[in-house]
Amino acid sequence: MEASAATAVRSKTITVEVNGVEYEREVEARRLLIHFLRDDLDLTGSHIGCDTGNCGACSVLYDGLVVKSCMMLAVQADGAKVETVEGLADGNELTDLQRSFTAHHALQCGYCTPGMLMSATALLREKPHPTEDEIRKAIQGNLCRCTGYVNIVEAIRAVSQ
Amino acid sequence: MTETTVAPPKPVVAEPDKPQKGWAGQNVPRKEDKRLLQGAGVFFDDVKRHGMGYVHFVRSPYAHARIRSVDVSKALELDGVYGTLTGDEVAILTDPFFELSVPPGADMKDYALAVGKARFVGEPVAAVVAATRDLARDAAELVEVDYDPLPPLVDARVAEDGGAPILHEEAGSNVVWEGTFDWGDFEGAVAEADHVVKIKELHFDRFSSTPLECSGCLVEYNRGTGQWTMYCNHQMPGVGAIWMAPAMRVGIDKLRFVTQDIGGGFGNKICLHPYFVACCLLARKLNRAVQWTEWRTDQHTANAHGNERWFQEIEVPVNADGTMLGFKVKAVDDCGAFPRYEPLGCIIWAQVTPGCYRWRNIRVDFTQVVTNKSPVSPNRGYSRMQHLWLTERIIDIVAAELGLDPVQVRKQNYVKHEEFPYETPNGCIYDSGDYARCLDIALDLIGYPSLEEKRVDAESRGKLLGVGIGSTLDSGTNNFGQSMILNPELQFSGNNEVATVKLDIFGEIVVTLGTVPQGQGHETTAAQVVADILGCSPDDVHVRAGHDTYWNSHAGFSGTYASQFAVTGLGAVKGATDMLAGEMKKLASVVLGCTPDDIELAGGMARMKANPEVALPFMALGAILNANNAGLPQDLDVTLNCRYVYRPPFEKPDLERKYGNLTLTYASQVHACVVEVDPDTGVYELVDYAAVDDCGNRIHPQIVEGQVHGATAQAIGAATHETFPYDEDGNLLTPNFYDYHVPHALDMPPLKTGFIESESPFTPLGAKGMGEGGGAGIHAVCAALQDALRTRGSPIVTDSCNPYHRVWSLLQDPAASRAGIEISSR
Amino acid sequence: MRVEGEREFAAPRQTVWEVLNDPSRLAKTMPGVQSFDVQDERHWRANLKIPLGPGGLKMSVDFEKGEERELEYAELHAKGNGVGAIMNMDTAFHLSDAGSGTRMKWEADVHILGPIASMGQRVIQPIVNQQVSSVLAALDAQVQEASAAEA
Repeated sequence: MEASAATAVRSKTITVEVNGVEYEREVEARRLLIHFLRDDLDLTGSHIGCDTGNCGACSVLYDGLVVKSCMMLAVQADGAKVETVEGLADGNELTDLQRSFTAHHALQCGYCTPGMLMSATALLREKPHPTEDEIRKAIQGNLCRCTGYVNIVEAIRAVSQ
Repeated sequence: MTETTVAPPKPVVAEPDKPQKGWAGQNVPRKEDKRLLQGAGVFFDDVKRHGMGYVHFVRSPYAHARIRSVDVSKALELDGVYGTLTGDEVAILTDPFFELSVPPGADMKDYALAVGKARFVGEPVAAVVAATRDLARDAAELVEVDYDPLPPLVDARVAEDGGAPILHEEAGSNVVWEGTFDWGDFEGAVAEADHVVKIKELHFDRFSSTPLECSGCLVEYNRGTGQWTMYCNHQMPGVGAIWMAPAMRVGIDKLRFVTQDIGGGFGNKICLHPYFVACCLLARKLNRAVQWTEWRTDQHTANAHGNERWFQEIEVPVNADGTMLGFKVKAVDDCGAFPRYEPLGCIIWAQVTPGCYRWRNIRVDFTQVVTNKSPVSPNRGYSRMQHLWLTERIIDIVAAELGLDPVQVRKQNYVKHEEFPYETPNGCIYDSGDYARCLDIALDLIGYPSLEEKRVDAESRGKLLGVGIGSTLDSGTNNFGQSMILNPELQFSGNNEVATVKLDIFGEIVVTLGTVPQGQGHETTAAQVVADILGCSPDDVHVRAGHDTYWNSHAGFSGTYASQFAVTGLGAVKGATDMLAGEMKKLASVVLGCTPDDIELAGGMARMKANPEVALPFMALGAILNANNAGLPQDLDVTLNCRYVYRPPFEKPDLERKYGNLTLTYASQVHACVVEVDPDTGVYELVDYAAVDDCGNRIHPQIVEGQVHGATAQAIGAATHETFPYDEDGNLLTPNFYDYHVPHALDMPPLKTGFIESESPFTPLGAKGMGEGGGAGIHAVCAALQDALRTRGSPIVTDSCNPYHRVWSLLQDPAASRAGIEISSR
Repeated sequence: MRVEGEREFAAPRQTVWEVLNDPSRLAKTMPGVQSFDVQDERHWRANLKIPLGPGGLKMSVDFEKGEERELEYAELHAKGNGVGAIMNMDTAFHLSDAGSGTRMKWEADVHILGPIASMGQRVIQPIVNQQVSSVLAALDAQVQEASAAEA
């Protein structure tokens, strides 16, 4: 049976928990999750760096898994628990990972940093003591043009010791 | 990629630790980090205005076409569309952008949108503004443009041939600029030399540093005052305003640039003015804030690339002992469809004319042409990188052909430590350095003495091992007078940067910069310099984030580019802080009844040297002057709000001889790289890598090293995979990250770093600007590949980018690459 | 890109010529034709759905006859527009006798533009080849049908 134009679903009301807070919003069917987070929820910490799902600047945690939120529709997050960089620190208390990033100068312009932090957070939850290779694999989907990854890998490793 | 990578050891310190006095030289935690780590940075796309319209550009699918008509009527009918802008409107409302060149380049017309003709795939032809991003895209698809395709020009080498398509009819030619540079006595050198090595053609590929954050702006127009405010990421607003204001027929003060955090620039956010003008016109026309964010595909196709350059008919006179006497070359530079910042690239290379070498006889015939490709902008390494790659290729090709050791040949030809400051054949002064020593450190880091063993081991695994060296200079702090060599009518010379430092009513120290940081840690290093002078801690110094025209803290050349912040930016900060310190002492001396010389600034106080108990906290000074100043002497010349313009000491160059000092400082880097090549497939791996850096006094060593790491990664990308090839129709084949491979964490070789500090005698802090020296990686990888393939017919690496398929071709047909090599001997 | 080839038809030149010059017949050789309309004897437009990805690529193609020499030579210019793709194709047909049948030599200059050209390079060549063989097969069928009708 073909859906006719009159019955096509153009928007939907979704309920998403982001960083522990529940949000109910109506979204267009074609709205990307990253735009929902940035524009609808004003959570501008996750960034957009490409059109093809390659750069990872938009990485967030979706029910604990790292996903590229530009490769997901907002409607797919209905009922899910999403974590973004804004949810890492506890008020003004930075996490050990964030403090390690600063100590090791693992960020320069800061644009890839939220994505890096989310990928690293997911890794360390699963493997608290990863090898260097496991670290590099975990952030393989996060591109950085400033740091050459050297200090980022160091920062993650230092926290895992 | 192998499974295990070894974490790099800590950088080698070549000097014994210098005694640390003060904050400069220490790794203080970056002020920028706290907000960036929490996703609380403010990048332009994070800024919102109620009711703003989203801009989407309609772009040309043709590389070259006449635009017969643009019909926006269907787009305007779509619900939620606020308005449109077309080339016809732009041609009426604005004048073409200021061109830097002489004719014919001067006659090329450049507008905010394509006017009459499209000249590269992706060129913006019309703009649509709508209530949401998606609606703007929908509407853009409804715009109907009638194109008359024209044959495209995609090879710069034939741009001057009769019958080549002409891009700009008003110019009548594809040449932007051409000229000859001739220093020393090349003919004499040839007559004297034992050998002359000829190389027919080398090619420096198009690529760019592709910052992760795309370009964009949010523009508000104030109807009452005629003022535009652009929340954006333009990295050189001084020059941006110079282009925009006359084109828009408004005073320069009507353009306010506001930036806070920027996700990387690397020179790719310097030529944003055409897009910004389109957005300004729309904001005014629609009486509404408009927002434009560039797509990744747009950045690759229609923002800016690094200059592509062909080096032809190279001739190198060499003596039997390996001393080279100079070289001659015909350079053809492809600057894409519109010059914009060009033709400055036609002279900027001359900052490093002989590269790292003591060559005195150099002739360069330089031509720059337009083609139907993306325009270029000063991508990291701008024009010097291309030229330095040539000098390194010359060294390695000559060494290979004459059977000489590339390490020895370098040391023989390098400018020697004792010769600094060294004047090059065209009058540039290399301030300080020790290239041979950097080379030794690099070779040590990759275990050079044991390379033969490694070669044998690689062979046993069926691999070819090669080692390559890349030496490079990072010339920083431009003398813009070099532009007059290209066009004597231009009124640009010298350089400047501004900073203000004030002591507020409650004793807060507040700094504003004229630079536009994109991750280089300016807030932090500026605070270090201020803290040292005022005797407080960097935590007491508040440096405002970003750049704002309204701070009145900038000048004509303000921005962050050309490896100069440590000199110009920090020079301005030092100047302003010295002024403030002097005023604080003067005021304190009046209050405490002594002379300014009796006062010292320490521990957050202005206190009497003889009796430190007698002290005024900064807060008291601020309060007295700002709120409680009755009774102060009328002639007391103190404001506690100091603005300083740093001007490097430059003269106008000698235009006729094309001679003079073009840059103030010369940082240097030497890289060494070891590759293993699979001879059956051409696939190769970087198995070891060392980068040694010398940028004079390091204000914040971690920041300097971070720059070295990042530049090296970009060089590795440019050497192995990153390139912007076009097909015969002018389509870019790597229009986004899907095809344009940027190194990720697993692509990086084990990276070892080392450094020395050769202080600059010319700068306020003995530091040199740095950040662009990573180009050395391209030179090193090319050299390593050529070395690895020596036993397979000695192919010559002629391109700067060598993806696996190119290496495979060299393996299949080494003779083809050698066809352009000719040696004549006495 | 350039595509060219040669084909023999078991039909006289007149028949082949007529098929090539008949828009309604020519339209039937194009794969995925959904509709077409003839504006005049030199201009017609066809709406196609080319199999490319889910949903296919919808294109409207404007055809214009170029220079021609009866029974020997014909030029056909096509300008196609779809979402994310523009296709310009200039084709020349040469007819000559091959025994009792006809030899047709043809060459086409194909320009593909738009995002599909930048990103789809790898898949474009095979698709073009596939389209070409579909057209030739259909042309064969049309010519046979025309011969049968005449017989």
